[in-house]
Amino acid sequence: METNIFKRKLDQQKSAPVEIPTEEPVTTSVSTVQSVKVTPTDDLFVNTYEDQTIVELKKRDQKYEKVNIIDLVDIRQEYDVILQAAPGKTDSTGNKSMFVQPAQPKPTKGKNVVFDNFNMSVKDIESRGQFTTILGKSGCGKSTILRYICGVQKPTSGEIYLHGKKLQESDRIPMVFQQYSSFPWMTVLENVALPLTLKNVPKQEAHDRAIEMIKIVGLAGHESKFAKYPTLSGGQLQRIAIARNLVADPTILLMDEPFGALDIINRRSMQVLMRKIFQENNGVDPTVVLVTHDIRESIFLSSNILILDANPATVRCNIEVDLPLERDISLKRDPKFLEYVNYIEDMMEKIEKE
Amino acid sequence: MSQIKELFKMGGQVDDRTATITQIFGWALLILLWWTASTMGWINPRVLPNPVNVIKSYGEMIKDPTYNLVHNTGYSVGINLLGYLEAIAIAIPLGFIIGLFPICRSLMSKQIDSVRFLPLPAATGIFISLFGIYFGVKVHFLAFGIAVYLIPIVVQRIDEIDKIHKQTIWTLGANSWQQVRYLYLPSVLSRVSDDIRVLVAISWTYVVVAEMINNQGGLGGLTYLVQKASRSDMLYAILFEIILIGFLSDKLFKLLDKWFFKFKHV
Repeated sequence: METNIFKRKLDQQKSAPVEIPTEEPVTTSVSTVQSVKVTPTDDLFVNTYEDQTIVELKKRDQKYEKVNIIDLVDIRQEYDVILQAAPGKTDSTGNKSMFVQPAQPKPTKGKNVVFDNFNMSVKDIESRGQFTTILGKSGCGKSTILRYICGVQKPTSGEIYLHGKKLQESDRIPMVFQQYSSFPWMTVLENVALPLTLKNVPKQEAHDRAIEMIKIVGLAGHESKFAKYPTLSGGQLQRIAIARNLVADPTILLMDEPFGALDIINRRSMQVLMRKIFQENNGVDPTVVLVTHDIRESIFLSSNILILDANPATVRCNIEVDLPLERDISLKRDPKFLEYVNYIEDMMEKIEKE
Repeated sequence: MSQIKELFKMGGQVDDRTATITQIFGWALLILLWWTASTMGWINPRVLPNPVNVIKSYGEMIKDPTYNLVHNTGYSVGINLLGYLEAIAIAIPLGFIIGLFPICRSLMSKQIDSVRFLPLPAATGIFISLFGIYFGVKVHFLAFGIAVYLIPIVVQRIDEIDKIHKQTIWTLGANSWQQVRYLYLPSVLSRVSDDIRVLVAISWTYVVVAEMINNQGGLGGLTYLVQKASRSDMLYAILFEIILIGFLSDKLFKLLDKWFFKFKHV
């Protein structure tokens, strides 16, 4: 019976876009949405039941499910959904937000163009920071975006804005790299205190803050050891890198596959640690931009996931992760978490095949 | 027994004790061969003197004021030490300037590289004209000989610094001086320390040449003297002394390396 209703609605609405007002404005990383414009497809329907407008999606098992507008905005953007931004709120570059618009020169014969009219913005969420992850296939330019933001590489054209201002030579954005980046001639304490030393923070204050941060990342007792392998394990060296980058209370933190070189156990514990630091704040409230290949890691850590297309790079979709802010490792078994995993895996596979 | 088998096994590995015993045995075997060859008259004693005579000659060289071994040893060690300090004082800052600033690299690196091919003994006249004929010229000659090798090494060590460390110190907000202070200096010096130790071995060649300039003493000058007197026993004794000093200075540099760069040895 129900199936017949859907078929009827499909016939009626498939061709024309339908604009649906949201009950409350929905904030995404790129805009504040007050309505969604939906183009019905074979898999997506807009039905009106009496005075209530409901969007319905065809699931993988061919059953139909009613979803609310927020879910639609968050996770179903592969269905030709057009986000209607509220006037004046698109691509905000207010406090703590980032807007990246690098562009490579026009394609020349035989050369691969990574970026061409690429746009991306990351907006901070007041008082709890923002954790954005960039996913995409190898070589699509994920790490390059981070290198542009932190200033170690410059785009051939285009602009990068931080906190509403154009990125300057003097702007330094801390970054956790995949490779072990601790300075082996310094102890753990000296490594962690280094950003404070560089800012001429008084010695005692730098010492106390570094000790505190070392405790937070679980390295208490290792302060006087030299930060080198194999004196410390790979996981411990990455903890130093995280502590060193967080100790100076950065407003933005970049992480380029920081756990990529770790074994599965260390990787898991680092994910939990990172999430713990982020959700407990511990005096730090940064906007984190993470690049990873690990879909589960991205969902577990992030509040926002950008999936990139390649050649040239474009933001294929922007997924708001609607999972509880307080997360522990058990979340990875949550059906909603797994739904995100399946959805992103499917999308990545689709991008790979294109 | 298993360790002995291990000695003869291809790619075998032996413990420290076995290695030490084998080394001592190697030395004993060499001295025995030497002693046999000189005693049996297989090789002319002017070319290869008896090892017992070589050992005895130390006493003669210490007592006889003509040879004055102790003073000459001190003289050579002094030249070597001062030459080294001068070379380090020139090569480290110059190497850093060339390594860090492209303008200096373009202007100077090729010229300095080309000096390495210069046969320094042939240039002694230039040094005499510049620095005179006394102690100073010998020190400067040695310093120059070491510095022309050391400068390209410092530049190379700067080039070898991990990109990840350069990017990290940059993203942490270090200014130019802080990058030198916290990255370039510790990273480069800890590795150049090994290079300086290795260069000790070649420095004695220059010490001997430097001491030939207006021979005022030193082990190099002494070798010239004993060769003129056809005292091959004394010549061998001096050569062994130089090897011993080289060996001890190598140990000293290793100790200093452990003292200054503790992180390398944990």
